[in-house]
Amino acid sequence: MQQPWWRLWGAAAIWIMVSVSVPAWGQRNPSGDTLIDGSVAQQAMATAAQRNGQIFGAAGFLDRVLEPTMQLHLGDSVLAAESSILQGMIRAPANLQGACSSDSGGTCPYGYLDIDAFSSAGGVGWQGENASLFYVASWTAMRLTEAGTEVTYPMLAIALAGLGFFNLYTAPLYTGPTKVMDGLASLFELSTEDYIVGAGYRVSWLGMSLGGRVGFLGSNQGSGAYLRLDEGVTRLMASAVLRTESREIPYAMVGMQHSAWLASVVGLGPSETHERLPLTLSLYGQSLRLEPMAPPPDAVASHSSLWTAHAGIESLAVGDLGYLEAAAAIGIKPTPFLHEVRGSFLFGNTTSGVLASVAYVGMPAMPYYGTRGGGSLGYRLEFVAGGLRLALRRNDSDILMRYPFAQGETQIYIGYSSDGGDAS
Amino acid sequence: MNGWRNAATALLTLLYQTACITAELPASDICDEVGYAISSRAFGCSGDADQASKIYDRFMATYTCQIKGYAGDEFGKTLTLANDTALPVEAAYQCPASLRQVPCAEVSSDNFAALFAHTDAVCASLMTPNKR
Repeated sequence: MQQPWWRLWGAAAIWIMVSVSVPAWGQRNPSGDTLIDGSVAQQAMATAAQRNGQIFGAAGFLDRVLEPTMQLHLGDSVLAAESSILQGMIRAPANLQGACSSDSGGTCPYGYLDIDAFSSAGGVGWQGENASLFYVASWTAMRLTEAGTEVTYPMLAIALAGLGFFNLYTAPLYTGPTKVMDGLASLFELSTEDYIVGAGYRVSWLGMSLGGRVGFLGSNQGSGAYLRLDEGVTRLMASAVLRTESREIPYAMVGMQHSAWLASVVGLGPSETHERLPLTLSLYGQSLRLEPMAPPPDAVASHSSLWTAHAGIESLAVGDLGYLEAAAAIGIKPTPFLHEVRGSFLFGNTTSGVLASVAYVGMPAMPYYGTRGGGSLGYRLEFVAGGLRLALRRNDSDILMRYPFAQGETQIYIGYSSDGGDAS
Repeated sequence: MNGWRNAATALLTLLYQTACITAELPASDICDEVGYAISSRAFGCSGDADQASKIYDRFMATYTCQIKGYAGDEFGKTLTLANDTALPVEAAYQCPASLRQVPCAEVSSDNFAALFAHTDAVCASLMTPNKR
């Protein structure tokens, strides 16, 4: 291990605790605000967030963070972890008693309260010349899901800071039989845990580098499997989560990510196909099953999904200043919509720099989730150094895929990976 | 190194500004909640997102919101309905809450009058069929 990663996580934990709990205490004391029973938003918190978070938790972390890190560390072991606070994951009608003052005559206003979600994920992997092993685990929680519950943000911030610090040590345990995380989880009304443990193998055949990974997916909502197939030269890949009980595929992704080969085919990139820089293209599609909220026992299984198609130019070098990126995505189902148009600039490089990004992000109307849909402005501001990534993101298209009702959200993210690479 | 510190300071400042957000609750949003609840229940029963969206559209096109606004203080606890009766805000939310429990057969058609027969009585006060 090259990095003093425990120091980084310690600093990160303190950073989160200070950055969140101080403003929570200082701006206003929200204690006393209570949700009104009956809103669809309240229902959404208690059901859809739980399931969608679970689908993307360990599998999403494996695809986004650990897998690219393992590819860069042939013959070595790697670790990665991330924690985030998703502010305003949903807006729920509430009785804002915390905003009452003594001169208001005892009349408390009603309003919308932004409800936050908390998540953490961690994993370890080993990539040999051909074989690989990996383990990832994630945890997603919300404090406020039942009507009448008081908001207590400072406690949440402290809990999340502790979670971020201990996540790497406890990830193999908190979804296992010992449940060491139950003490912390008891602070929240709703928490989901899932993990994937698995292995992979890669072979060379007819000039191609064919790889496959298979994992067992366990969670407190049932078990399943994670599958991934890829080709190393073109970076063509497909991954999916399978649910054993329902025999469904709640999450699937297929296409090419960070492909220099694709760039060379369209005449933009280099002929050497294994290089990430100076230019790569991405072209892929995703499918996420839309989870019904509070289905009755006799309800039919869900068969509706959110389908999106993504295309992007990445790592277009602009002199010595940095790299330009552009991306666009359209939604195909449940109704056609423009999902994202994004422009980014990375000052520095992928291991040390600052990424600034602005986007238009759109979502369809989903009355069953209590959302009107429409477009909004999104941004990302990220700092990367020494394997550590700090980010502030608003209206992020990836988050909206996971939580379709979360328009207006802001994500505070901190992540660490052995290479300091694509933990985005 | 100073650049890094300045950037971190700027990020922290942004974080401070994003904590603990609240917004007003327009009175008419409660009627939207009734439509959302019907759509959500339909989706929960059938798993068909497209059908659930269409039911919402049909309901909102054929029913009218009866909430005139807040009584007295704009941010008071009580709503005023079209017939000038008063209704506590939290009582109004009993309508969408009761829609969570209706039988699936009642949300598979456009017979919203039959649907309301299975819900809290306050639903019929909040939303009434359009006059022809």
